Amino acid sequence: MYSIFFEDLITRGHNLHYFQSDAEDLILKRFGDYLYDNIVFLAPSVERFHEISFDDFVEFVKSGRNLLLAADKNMSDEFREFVASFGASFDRTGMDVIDHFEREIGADVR
Amino acid sequence: MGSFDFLSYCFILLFVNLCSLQDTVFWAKHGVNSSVILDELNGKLSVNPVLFKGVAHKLSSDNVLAVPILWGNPSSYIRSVSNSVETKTISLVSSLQGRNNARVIISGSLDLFSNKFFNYRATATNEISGNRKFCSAVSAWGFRETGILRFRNITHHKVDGTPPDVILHEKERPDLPVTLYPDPEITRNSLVYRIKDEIVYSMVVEEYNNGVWLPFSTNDMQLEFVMLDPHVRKTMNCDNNGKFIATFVAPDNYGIFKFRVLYRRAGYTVIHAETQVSIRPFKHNEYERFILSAFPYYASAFSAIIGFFIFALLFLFSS
Repeated sequence: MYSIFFEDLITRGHNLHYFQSDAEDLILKRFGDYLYDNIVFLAPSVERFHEISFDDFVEFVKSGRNLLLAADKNMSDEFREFVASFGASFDRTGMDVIDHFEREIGADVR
Repeated sequence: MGSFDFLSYCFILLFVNLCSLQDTVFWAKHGVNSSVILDELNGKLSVNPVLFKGVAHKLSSDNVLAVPILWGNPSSYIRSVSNSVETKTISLVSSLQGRNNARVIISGSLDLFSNKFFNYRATATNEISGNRKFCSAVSAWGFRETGILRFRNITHHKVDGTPPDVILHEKERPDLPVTLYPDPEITRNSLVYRIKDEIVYSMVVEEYNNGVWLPFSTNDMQLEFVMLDPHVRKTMNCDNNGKFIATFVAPDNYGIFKFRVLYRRAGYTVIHAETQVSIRPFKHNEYERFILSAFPYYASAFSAIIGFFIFALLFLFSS
């Protein structure tokens, strides 16, 4: 579903590893060294991971590495707090952004 | 807002419910004016908008490290009756660059990245959405492929090319015993200029773009000459090879100064270069030889000498 985005990243030279949020081998550090330089976080409804926590992602950014994260209406509370530690606050109840004037009325994106 | 009563509140709520609440997918046309972050889409979002479906977030106003990248149109709003939100303070996609130059991109929509939105053609104009270009530009910025600056070759010298003096050289004292209490902490090999010297400072700045370091050019990089507070602040001139040069006269205060270049711009990494020098006062033989305000005293001394001489002549040779 995000294959074009990932292919663009690969053509720009990144080496991608894919993980589900409940994967048991999802770790960021091994023996004190980070395994990855950048993280694309496309799972906003995740509440917990097997081996790591959201604080590990904050430490990842503090070490100088980069993060891209996406939220949506069904994000979990833990994810909301995680994003708040970067200074962006999503409101409590998941609310869409609505625009009646610039709307896209095609049926297959609803 | 004082005349906002319950009846009109109900009416507006009914009106909102009659409009399609399914207008959650829309074209976002307003983005940050920065070609570092947005690459070729900078300024073109109104013709090549980004299809968005999701939530919006608010960046706190004292967060100086965060830059909104994409925000709502003037006609978009968040469906909430408890908070009033304006479209400028909420953003759909925003970026954060920490002081360690780590970058975080926060997007309110997961569908922004999906294949469906990448390939979607607008029903009104049948043009493809700008999502693919937007995501590749923003992710290139976010993963530190663009917008990285570095500096090198900091040199400073007097205008005629002579380097500053060096004082407090390291001195070997082989006759003294080895001690656990060495010399007090003096900055060894200090570079010294004199007050009212004309000093030239130059630095080369490069920008990383698609794998190569290219010379950076801008008109607003400033050099500060600082001793607790900046005494001199000068905008540096840039030639086309990324070399930035500033020339100024050393201020009349003497002490330990530093050349400081602190360049913080949205979308670029921070350049912070500090070089320490000392400024000394005039030595006793560096003052002007004849001081204009001392001319009365010169005149009085010489007139006393000449007067004495004339008096002596008159006294001796007049009968």
